[in-house]
Amino acid sequence: MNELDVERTLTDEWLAFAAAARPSPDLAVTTVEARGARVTRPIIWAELEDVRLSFAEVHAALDDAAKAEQLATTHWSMKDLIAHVASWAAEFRRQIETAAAGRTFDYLITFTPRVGPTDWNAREVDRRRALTLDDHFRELDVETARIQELALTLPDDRLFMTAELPPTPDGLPEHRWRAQLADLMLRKCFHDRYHLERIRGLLALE
Amino acid sequence: MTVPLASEHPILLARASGEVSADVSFEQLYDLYQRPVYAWLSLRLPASDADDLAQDVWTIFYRRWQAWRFPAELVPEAKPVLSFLYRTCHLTLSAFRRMQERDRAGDLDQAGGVAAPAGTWQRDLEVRQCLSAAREACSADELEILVGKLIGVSARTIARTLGMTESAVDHGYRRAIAKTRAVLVNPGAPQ
Repeated sequence: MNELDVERTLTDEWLAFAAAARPSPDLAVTTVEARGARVTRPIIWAELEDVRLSFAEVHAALDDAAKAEQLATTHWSMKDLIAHVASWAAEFRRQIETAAAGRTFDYLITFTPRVGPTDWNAREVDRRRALTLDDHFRELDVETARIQELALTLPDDRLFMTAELPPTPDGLPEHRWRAQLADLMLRKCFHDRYHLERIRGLLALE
Repeated sequence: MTVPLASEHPILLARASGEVSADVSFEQLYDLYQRPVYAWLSLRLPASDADDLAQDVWTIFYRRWQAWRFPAELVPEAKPVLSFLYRTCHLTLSAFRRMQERDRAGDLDQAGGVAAPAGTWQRDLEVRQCLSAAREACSADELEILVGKLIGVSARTIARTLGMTESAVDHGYRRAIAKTRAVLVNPGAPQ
């Protein structure tokens, strides 16, 4: 048996193996009916890993300092934008750890409707001005990995607990957002992807 | 060598033009890829775990499919959904393995350092000789490369998923074939 024979046999066997597979015939329908609401630890970890690896690709593609200085939004350079994503990674991690420990928050983050938490965002990016682009990527990577660790280690009654969080639409503490910690982890991925799309477009990444 | 599959291209075209809804096209894509996804998982996991992870993979895809970005031109040969599913299977399985390792470490602690029995590969499906040899001989990455190639995922997607270069993928594939052949030719010999 030469290597070509091995390849042919593997192909035939894979076909037979896949044909014999018995996936649930109802899975598509039940997933649609549930609107994709299933949340498990592997889902959270995999989604976080996907964005973590995507930012590692972006980091590798930002090989030229000039690319990091180009404008990525009306006001922010690419470097600022990475600092922004890193600041939110740290904030998401802080909120998850604080809530999971049963502690309350002594601060608010005001999300102006349709605009977002502009003051908080600007303050956090400014706080990181002296750091390098590599520092921003490092912070982002470390914080994402810490959230992944929490996704695997928090007990169920913590991971799926609903917590009152710092964000508020109007600055009033009684209107603070409430969310499950598991959902907060997925929200971090949504936020990352929102910015990743812009960044990858600017860098002409696939 | 690649196992031929029906094309996802017509489904992508219909969805991109708004001819079909996200939910209907999701079900069409499930029909198209449910078997390779399930086979990919059940090659590595007992059936009950493969069932759970298949749900996870398709849930992740469902959410992403709702806001899927289509390029201006859809290339017939491109398989973005298959690539996405391949990467998601890999990431979800990585998560599952980490949870298993954690549980095993916890069990070891509780058992006072007595080793638990080695992981058993219980299969509901019959894995044939050559695939069994590949599973026995190949490293985790080589198996990922091999199955990726068998499913028809591009070397580029495999490389991106595994964090390696395309040439490393090609080398890994050749190595996987050579190792599989060695097991078949000389079963029981050290690899």
